[in-house]
Amino acid sequence: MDFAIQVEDLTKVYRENSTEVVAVNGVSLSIQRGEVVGIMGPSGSGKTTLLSMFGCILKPTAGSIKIYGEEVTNLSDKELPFVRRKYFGFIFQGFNLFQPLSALENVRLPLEIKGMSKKEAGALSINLLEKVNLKERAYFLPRNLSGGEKQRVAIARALAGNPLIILADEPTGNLDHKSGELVVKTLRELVMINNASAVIVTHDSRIFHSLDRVFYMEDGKIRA
Amino acid sequence: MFSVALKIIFYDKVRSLITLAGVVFAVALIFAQIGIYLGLMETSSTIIDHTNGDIWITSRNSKNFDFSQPFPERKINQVLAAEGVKDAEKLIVTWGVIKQKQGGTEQVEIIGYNPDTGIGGPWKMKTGHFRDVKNGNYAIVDESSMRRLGRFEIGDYREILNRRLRVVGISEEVKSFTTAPIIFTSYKIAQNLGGYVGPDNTVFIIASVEDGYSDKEVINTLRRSLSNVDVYTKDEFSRKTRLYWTIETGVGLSFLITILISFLIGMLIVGQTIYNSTIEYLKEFGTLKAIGATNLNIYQIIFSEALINASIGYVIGLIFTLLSIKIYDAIEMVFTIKLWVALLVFFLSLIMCLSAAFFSVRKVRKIDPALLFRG
Ligand SMILES: Nc1ncnc2c1ncn2[C@@H]1O[C@H](COP(=O)(O)OP(=O)(O)O)[C@@H](O)[C@H]1O
Ligand SMILES: [Mg+2]
Repeated sequence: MDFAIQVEDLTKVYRENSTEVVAVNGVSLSIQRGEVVGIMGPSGSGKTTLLSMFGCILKPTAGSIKIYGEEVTNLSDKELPFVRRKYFGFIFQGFNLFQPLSALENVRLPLEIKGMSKKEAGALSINLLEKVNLKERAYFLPRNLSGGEKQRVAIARALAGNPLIILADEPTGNLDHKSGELVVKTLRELVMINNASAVIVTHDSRIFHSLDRVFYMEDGKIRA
Repeated sequence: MFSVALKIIFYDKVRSLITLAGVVFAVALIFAQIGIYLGLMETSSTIIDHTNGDIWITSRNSKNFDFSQPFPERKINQVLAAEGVKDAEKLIVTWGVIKQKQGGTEQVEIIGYNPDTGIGGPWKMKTGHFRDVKNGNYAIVDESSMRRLGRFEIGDYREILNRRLRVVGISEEVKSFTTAPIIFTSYKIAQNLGGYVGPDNTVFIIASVEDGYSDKEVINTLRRSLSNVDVYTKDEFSRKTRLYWTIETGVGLSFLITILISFLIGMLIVGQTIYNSTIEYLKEFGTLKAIGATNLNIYQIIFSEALINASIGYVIGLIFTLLSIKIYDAIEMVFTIKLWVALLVFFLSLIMCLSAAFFSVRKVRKIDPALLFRG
C-alpha cells in the first residue's frame, strides 16, 4: 500500500509567554495515495496546525511525519523547501494570490521558481487554467475575479508542479455554496487524474459527498 | 523574479512614487553636493592649471595660491641659472580694496603678471589682449566680477588701493574660490600697489623645464640651490591649493556630511516603502515558500524592487541634475559633473536601495506559517 502521509504521535505545543497551548495532541493517522480526505472539527481544535505539519511548514513538538515513506520530521530549514517543492500544493481560505499579477502569472510563478523556462511555464499554466475553466480569465488581475474564480486560480497554482499531495485549509470558507461546490469538484477531479491525494480542512458539511474519508478533530485529537 | 518586482512596482503606484521621490531626492542632492564640491576644487586652482610652466616656487610654507607671502624676486636669477631650467617668470598674487562707483568698497584679488609673456595672466579674453596691461595703470577685469563690481566697460576707471586703473580688457572664466573678483594687472603695478608685496619682491616664480630634463630632477636641483622657498610641480601646487580650500577649511567635510545625510534619508525612505511592500505581500511570499520557494527566491523579488527603484530614481535624478547645470551657470557657479561622478552616484544609489532592502530580509526569513492560513 502506497501511503502519502503517515504521522505518528504528532504533537504541537505553542508556547506564548508562560502559557502553553497543546494544539495537536498525539495524532496518528495515514492517508493513502489517491485519497481525498477531510478534516472537520470546531474552530480552535487544531486542524490548521495539523495541516501545517503535514505540509512541512510547521515543525512538530513531538512525533514523526513520513511523506511517501520519507522521514521528514527532522529535516533542516535548508532541506524543507525541496521536500515541499517535491510533494505539496497548498490552497488557502484567503486565496493568497499576488494582486499585481494576472491569473496566468500567479500560476506561472511557482513553476518559474522551480526552474522552468518562462515559455514552458506559460504554456503549462494556460493548460492548468483551462482545466479549472478559467482560460478566458488568464490575463485578469485577481481584483477582477470572483471569489470562486480566485480559488480556482489558486487550485491551478497548487497543481502547477504536479504535486502528489494537495493541502487545502477551508478552501470554500470565503465562497458561496455554488462556487464552493465547483471548487471542490474541480479539485477532486484533478487530484484523481493525477493519482494524487488531498487533505481538505473544512467545516462545510455540504462538501461531504466529495470526500473519501473524514477525520473529526476535537481539542487537538482525532475523534475515533 | 525581476518581472514580478516590476509588476509590484507598477501596481502600487503611490508607494512607488514615494520610493522614487526618495531616490531622486537623494541622487539629485548627492549630485549637487559632489558637483559643487568639484566645481569649487576646480575653481580654486584654475589659474595654476591655466598657467604655462612646470614648476612653482613659493615662499616657505605657503599653503595655497591665494594667500602666499612675498619673497625676494632676485631669486629668479638663481632659478634661471639652475641646470635644466629653460625659462622662468615672476607672478604676484595679492589683495586690494576697490572703490565702488556707487560708493562702498569690495575686496579684490590682484594678479600681477608679465605682459610680455602672459604667464599667469588671463587665458581667455572677451575683449582686449593680455599684452594690453603693459606700460601704464591698466587692468583686465573678469566678466564674472560684474555681479560684484557693477557693469564696467573698456575705458572705465576704477580706484584700487588709491591708484586709478583703467580697464583695458575683459577676461572670461576666471573665478576664485574666495569669490573675490579677480583683477589682472602688470607685474610692476601689482608690486607697487599698496606696498604689501614690496618693491623687490615677488610671490611666485614659475619655471619651465628644458627638454631632456625631468621635473623631478630640476626640482631637486632648485631645492638644493634655493633657500627659504618651497618648490612644487604645477600639479602638486594645484593639488595643494585644492586640498587647502576643500579640506583644511572644513568645507569638504560639510559637503561630505550633506552627502551622507542625503544617502541616509534616501535609504530610510526606500527602506520604509520596501518594508511596507514586503509586509503587504507577506502572505503571498509565504505561499511561495510553502510551495517550495527558498528565502533566496523571495529575496530576489525584494532586491529586484530595490534595484528597479535605484535605477529609475537615478536616471530621473541625473536628468534633474543635467537640467540644473544651466541654473548653476546662471548664478556663476562652476558645477562639475564627470563620468566617474555619474558612475559613483549610480553605485551609491544602488548601495542605498539594496541596503534599504535588507530591512525586509528578516521579515521574509521569519514568516509565520499561521499567517498563510488566516482568512
Ligand atoms: N501561532 C500560534 N501561536 C500560539 N497559539 C496558536 C498558534 N496557532 C494556533 N494556536 C492555538 O492552537 C489552537 C489550534 O489552532 P488552529 O490549529 O488554528 O485550529 P483550527 O484551525 O482548528 O481553528 C488554538 O487554541 C489556537 O489558539
Ligand atoms: Mg484553521
